Amino acid sequence: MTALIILAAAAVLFLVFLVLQTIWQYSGRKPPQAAQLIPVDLAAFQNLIDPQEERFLRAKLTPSQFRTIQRARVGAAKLYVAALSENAAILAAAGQSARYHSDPEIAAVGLDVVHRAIKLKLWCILTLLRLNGALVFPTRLSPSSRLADQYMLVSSMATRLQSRAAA
Amino acid sequence: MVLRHVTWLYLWIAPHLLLIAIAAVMFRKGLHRQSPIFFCYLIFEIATSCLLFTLYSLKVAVGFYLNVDMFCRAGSIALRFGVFRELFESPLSSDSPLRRTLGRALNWVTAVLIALACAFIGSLYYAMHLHSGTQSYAILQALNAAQCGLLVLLFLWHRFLGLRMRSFAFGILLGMGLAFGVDPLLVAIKDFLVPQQTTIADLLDMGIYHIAVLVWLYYAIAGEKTVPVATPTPQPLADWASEVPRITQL
Repeated sequence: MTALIILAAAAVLFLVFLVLQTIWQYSGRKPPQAAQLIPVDLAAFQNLIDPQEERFLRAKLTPSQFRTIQRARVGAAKLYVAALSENAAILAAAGQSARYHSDPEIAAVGLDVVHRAIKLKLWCILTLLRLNGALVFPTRLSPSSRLADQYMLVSSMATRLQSRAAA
Repeated sequence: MVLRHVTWLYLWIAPHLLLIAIAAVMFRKGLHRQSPIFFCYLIFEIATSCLLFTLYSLKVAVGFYLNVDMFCRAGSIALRFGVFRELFESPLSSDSPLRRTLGRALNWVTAVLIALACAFIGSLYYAMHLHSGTQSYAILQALNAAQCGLLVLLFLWHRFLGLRMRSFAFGILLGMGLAFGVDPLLVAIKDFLVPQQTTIADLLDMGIYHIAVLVWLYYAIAGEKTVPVATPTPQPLADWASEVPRITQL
């Protein structure tokens, strides 16, 4: 009987999940607006994850001081990555809207933006994992600067999208 | 008794006739090119139902019928894994390297989900001391449960990416969730009931499948019209461009 109750509860939870997804699919979500993007100071972010900066701090500070400072830097970098991740989702939604544009050229760029935004989103997740590792082992793991490059790429795609639509 | 038999026959035949209609609509609208594995799944379902109905009409031995039924169910489950993969990869339609990478990740996730589902269903069914006839279906129910987990992940995957699912893709997932989400529960209920009462559970199972087929048919007919997609106009795109320096601050 207990097993039946557990299976029934699992089935009900699953059905509720399906209902919620249906509501979400048909909720009147507006297309993303540029103003929704979270401003990210990429220069400051790049500084936080710069290997040279890390080497400099490692040379100048005692190991315990370095660990403390590095943890603070990694904590700050995580906030930047979370913001980039949010922006990637907004850029993906914008690209998806452009996919169905009547102009095939704009639609193609829209598809490209979607793909690059998805890559950026995945990069953000991997970077967050790495940063969490760096929080635990600040002297062993260093953040990577490749994420900032990816973000720049997607941002430039958004600019290209605009110029093609205006042409 | 006659009414129950007629209802039972209707719920067996009607959904599979509707599957033919769905396949025809998909073919006419070109949806079979967007979702080829789902199209194959429909064809397989139609073919296996014809085979099983023929065997039932010929009154073959129960053991032989159950073996064929098991084979058909296993084939269905295998194809459904393909459908999930197809839907998972749909946002990355033309990016082959990324699709391959994420495809490998999906394989691992699927393996973990199958292991978890086997442990979950196995422990529950073991506790219920199912009779041998139902035990043979336990592994299929575990795979069904794993597919429910995969289905949840697929919805969350699109949500995580911030993408709205294509209308038909959403319909496919919704129908599959309805059709197979309550299967492990129904099998357990059937085992709990005395044999004379299992017909009601069977009718419930078939009724839910009928609803799922109607959901697929609705989404195949409705197409993308049900979800209006906002196309960017030059003005909002100009806003985007003006915002890019603010975002990057470089």
